[in-house]
Amino acid sequence: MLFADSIFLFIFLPLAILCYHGLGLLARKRLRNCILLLFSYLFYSIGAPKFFIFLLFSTTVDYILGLAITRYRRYARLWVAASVAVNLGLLVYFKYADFLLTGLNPVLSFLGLNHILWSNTVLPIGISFFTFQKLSYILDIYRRHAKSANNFIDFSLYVSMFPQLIAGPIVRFKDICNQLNHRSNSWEEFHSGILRLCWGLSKKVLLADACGQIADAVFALDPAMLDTKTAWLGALAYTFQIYFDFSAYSDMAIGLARMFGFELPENFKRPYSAVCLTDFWRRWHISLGAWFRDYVYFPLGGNKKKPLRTYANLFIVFCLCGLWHGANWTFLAWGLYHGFFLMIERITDLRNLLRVKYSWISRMITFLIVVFGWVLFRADSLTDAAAFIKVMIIPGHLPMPYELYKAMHPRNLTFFLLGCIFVTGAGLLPTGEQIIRTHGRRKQAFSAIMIFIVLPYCAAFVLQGTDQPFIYFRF
Amino acid sequence: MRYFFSCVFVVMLMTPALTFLENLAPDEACLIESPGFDLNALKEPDYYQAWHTYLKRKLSCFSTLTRLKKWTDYCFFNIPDNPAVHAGRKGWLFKAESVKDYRKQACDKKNIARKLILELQALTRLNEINGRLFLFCPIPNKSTIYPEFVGGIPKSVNCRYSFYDLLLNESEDHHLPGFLRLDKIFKKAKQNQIQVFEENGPAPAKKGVGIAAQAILEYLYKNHTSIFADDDLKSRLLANTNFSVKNNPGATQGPLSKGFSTALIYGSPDIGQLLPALTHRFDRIDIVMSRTIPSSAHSENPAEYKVVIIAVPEYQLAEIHIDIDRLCKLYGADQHSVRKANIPGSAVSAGKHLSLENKDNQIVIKSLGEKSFFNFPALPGSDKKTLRFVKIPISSPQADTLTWEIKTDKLFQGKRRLQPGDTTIYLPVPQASRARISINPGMQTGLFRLKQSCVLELQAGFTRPGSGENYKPQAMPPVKNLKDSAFELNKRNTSAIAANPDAMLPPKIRLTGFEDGRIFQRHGKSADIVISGTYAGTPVAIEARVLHHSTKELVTDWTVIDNAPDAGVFMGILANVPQGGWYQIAVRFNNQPDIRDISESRWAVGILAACIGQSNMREWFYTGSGLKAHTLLSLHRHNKWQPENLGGNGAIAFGNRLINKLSIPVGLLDYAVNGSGLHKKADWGKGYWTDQSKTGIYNKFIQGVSSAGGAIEYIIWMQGEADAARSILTQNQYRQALMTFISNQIRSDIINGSHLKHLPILIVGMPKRPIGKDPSHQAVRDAQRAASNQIADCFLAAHSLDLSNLGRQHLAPEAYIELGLRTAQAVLYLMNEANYYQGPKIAEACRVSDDKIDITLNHRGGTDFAPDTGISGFEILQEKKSLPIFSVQRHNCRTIRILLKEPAAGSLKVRYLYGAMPGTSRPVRDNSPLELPLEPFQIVIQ
Repeated sequence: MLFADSIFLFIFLPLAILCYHGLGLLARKRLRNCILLLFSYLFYSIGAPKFFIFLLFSTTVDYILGLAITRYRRYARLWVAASVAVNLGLLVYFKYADFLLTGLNPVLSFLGLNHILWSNTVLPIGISFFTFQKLSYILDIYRRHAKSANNFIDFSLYVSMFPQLIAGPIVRFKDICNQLNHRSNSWEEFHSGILRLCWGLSKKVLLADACGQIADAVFALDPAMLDTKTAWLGALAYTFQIYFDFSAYSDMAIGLARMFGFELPENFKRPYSAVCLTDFWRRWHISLGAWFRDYVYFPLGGNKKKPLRTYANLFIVFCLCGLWHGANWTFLAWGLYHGFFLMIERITDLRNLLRVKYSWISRMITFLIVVFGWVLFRADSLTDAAAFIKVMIIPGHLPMPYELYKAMHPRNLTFFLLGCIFVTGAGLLPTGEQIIRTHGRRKQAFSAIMIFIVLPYCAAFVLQGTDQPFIYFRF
Repeated sequence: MRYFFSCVFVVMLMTPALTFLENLAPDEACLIESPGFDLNALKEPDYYQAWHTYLKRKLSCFSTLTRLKKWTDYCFFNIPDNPAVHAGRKGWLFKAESVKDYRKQACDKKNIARKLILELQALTRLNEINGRLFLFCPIPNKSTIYPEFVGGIPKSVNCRYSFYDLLLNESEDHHLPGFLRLDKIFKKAKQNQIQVFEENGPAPAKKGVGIAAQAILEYLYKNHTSIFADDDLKSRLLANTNFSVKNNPGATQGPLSKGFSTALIYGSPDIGQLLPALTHRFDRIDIVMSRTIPSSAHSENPAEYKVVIIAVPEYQLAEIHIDIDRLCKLYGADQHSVRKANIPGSAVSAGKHLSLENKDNQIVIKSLGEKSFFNFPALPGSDKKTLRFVKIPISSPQADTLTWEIKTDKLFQGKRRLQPGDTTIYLPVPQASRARISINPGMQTGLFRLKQSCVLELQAGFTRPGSGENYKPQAMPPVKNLKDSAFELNKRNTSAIAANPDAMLPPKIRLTGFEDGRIFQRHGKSADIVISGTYAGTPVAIEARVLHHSTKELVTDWTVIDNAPDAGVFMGILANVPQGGWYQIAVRFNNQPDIRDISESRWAVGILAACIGQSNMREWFYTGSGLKAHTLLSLHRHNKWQPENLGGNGAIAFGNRLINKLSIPVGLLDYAVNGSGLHKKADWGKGYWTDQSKTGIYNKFIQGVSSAGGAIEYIIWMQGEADAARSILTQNQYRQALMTFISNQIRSDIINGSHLKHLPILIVGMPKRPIGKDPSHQAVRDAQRAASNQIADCFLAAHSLDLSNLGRQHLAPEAYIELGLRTAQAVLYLMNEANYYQGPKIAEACRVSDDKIDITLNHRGGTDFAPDTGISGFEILQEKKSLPIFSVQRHNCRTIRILLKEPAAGSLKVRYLYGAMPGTSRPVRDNSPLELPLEPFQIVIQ
């Protein structure tokens, strides 16, 4: 189930709120986690019922291994290895086996060996997110950064809590363990959660989907029909779409969690106003960046060793980061592309040079690098990406294709331009959270607009059915 | 305020759920079924999807919110919610399709426009010679008349022609009588400040309709006299048709009551508004909403109407398909022709990849496939007075597609569908001094036979049948005397070297190999295999032999297949290749045995079974991965043999069972289409099987069969859910459609490869839906049963009602194994390799007492049945009310005893696996090895 779905909004969510707060009051908070867990499992089962067992199994394994690390410290490395093997093994099996075998079978043929027969597997929803979340739990316990969960329900809720189960943010156990048992539910937080949810919903339905329709129309065009302006329009539209789409999901996750008393970490901090790529990765998908930093980059030596080693580490991290998004050469190329520019930044020290004096230039350059990167990310193949980038670079003029014209209707155009304003004026405009946290009449007006105008309009979109599911839902 | 906003938010979200069952439109209410609660279905995504759809439709806020959004979008963003509508400037609305047409990017359709003009000319003449009126009046697009309101549509730089523009261009070069340009008339009216289209509607406004109707009637009245040149005939026709010659042409609103008798209009719903303005001038108007003329779905005969009008909207012109062959037969082109000149067989010449041989007054064409073609000699073209047709009787070994090309100063191209056996093609010749015609007989390799072709001349105006004897036309030059380079080059009896420049090259032979994994349909216990290829050199004859692919054992020894290879092409039939496989083939020169070629691909001779229907049939190939396909099992899909892609429990179980029992290869043709209906009404966007249009799913299937050789031994049909959905069809409609489909389509287009008289159709029953009430499904099941009883060699081969379901529609993977085995058993039964294929059948039902009913069974494969107790699936009804059953259990090996909870007097209806959702937890199955189920029944007992 997705947040931008009528059943979620009109049946699942009100039912979850009523049961959680109603029964939670009656049972004096003891049942709150149970209720939330039940709803989380229901949320996961709807649409992917057979993976529920898989989720339960992998949660149980990590719970037991977490306890084992705490209780049998002598064999801690063994338990960690077991957990990493199970988690990454399942991830590789479900997500990368097809990809690996596609590359392996030609090699086997060349060596005169039989092909490995393989039927395509269906990817369990959210596997990349909850696998990383569980790995962070095990590694934190091993490093003594966190204590193991004593209660299976608490741990299961940490893994499967529906606001962040499918597309993050990737929450660390140490950040949330206190909230699992000692959280307070206040009207203030509930209200701000509602506003954050509506904010996210409107971002998704109005901005992301509008940009998405334009991007889809451009990327679906025959390469012969692409010219420079159309290609740039498509690249920009996708750049905005992926940001609004994913940050909308994060906003909705944070808002929903807040309605149930949890405070999840922010996942985005105006990434397109970054002054360099290093800065970009501190603002984009913060929880994933931090995960790779803490559990891959630093253990490899980070930047504490020789420069060559640092560059190699960067390459490894971004290669993995690219692959995390999916088993495809385009994702790998996207990761390496970012790794390459980060390395260049380090070698030339451009990130420090431009940061203060020429911040608008560095912002623009960073933004352009990111835009080209998204073309790699969005294209179906590297050949398509190369052809698309070529059209972006080599000027050409063709009439606007009709398919694009149809997508460029006044509503999409309005929201696309609004998206441009939000992105370019990011430094001058307040963030959603800042608006939500205002007081007095401003907040009342904002609440009224969100609940009485934006919510029904977005709900109508949702009811009609959107053909643009969340992008990160696929990862 | 935070309390207020929080509460409002929760209430707003809850309102739709709270008012759950209210605010439903009555017409929707009957269509929505609750999926119900089913524990077994919980693990299936389809079940959740069913609930999802149900709840979404039931949400009371759905219509209110969507209406609100539509209003907002239209008012603020000028967007119509319906993607079929385009909003232009100043709120003007257009049909999106017509606006797409307005983009003027039709340059690649020049050939279609040219062909359409040619066909329209032919249709006009066919009507004329029969004393009928024909009118072609495309309804102009609103955007053509009012381009200023369309909005900023991007226009192409390279092509600035719409299809209509192309048609107009072509009509300038090729005069088209009967072409009424409503666009000119509308534009003129627009200049006179008359608004011919509504601002907010796609159809013409009242005034526009009046103008169009007036123009049409004016045209008809003005032109009808030109048809009837013969005074006698005119008076006779006038007496019959009851119309006045001296009517004031423009008086459409006057008191005149007399008009034309009957009219046939081909159009679309767009012409709806035009009809009231026309109907008063006709005794009867029939409207056919089809762009295929004559329509394949209706049985109209245009030759029976006094007036035939094509009034298709401008944006649909490119989709018009005129079936000239059928029209020529309906209008009697042969009988009305004033002159008929035979084309001598010797004047027909071979083009590339093809050889011709005159034999028994017909030409045997050895065609290597889509690149092959032969030429007719240069023929006289048509002119304004005389329209010439080339009549080409051709015989094809399989259903195929013939491609024609006519060269004058322009090029005309088109395609025709060939039936297996004889087909007569009528090609209208364009207006030119001379025309040269090239024909590709078929996309597949094969031996075609061209019978006596001729040129028919049709004169302008009414022509009495057989009047050609007294007609003295302009002398048509005899075709054999025409100078034609192709004819000169390809004269028979020239030496092989002269005809074949390749003969000077070093000798070599190249075999046209078969697709790897191909299975040829057997006839009896062997098959005749067409072998073809090319060569260089001077072979006296070509020989071929067949070897086992793996063991290289000889299957058939060297046999001459072509004793007169010609023009570098050889082709022949290797007769009686025994069933079996895998094989490979070798060919050689018989006078130079070292010149040989051998194909590496594997092929076989065996049974071909085509699997068609909808998703449950398709799932045979996609659900389940537990079985391994036998090495002799092959798959044909998307017009290609692809044995490596064979998967799915149903297909493998079916194929493996047949191979294990018969030890011959089996090829399965997978052409089922998810969600496809049988009847036109059941077209939910995935197509329907009775649709014979070029792009329809049926035609794709026939193309697939054709590429597999054209002959099939069994057709397996598992379909019906789409037709049962939403209760749109009655039992009779489905039965009729199925009978027409089998008799008029499948059995006429596919060669029967079986030993039975007709191509056997094996119907596999629809599975039970796990949830909801389904009387409409029962109607389809009954229709299938009735059709199987009425159609010869059509069998209800397997039941699936007792098998476990997956979600709402599909069976569980293991159930497909059962179904595959049951269907294979039916095939074996038809081959006399098994004694039965059906489970027990009810013999009688009788009351033992008021609360006891005995059901007596007739066993077919088994001798007893299971389970002993707790049998499910029975229902006892009294006056439509279900009576509670205490127990259903085995009484003896032939009797089931039903014990009611309470005694019930009077007549009762006993049903088993019938009607609404029957229980199938413990169905009755016999003790035969396949454990076949008791057949569903309904019986009334007193």
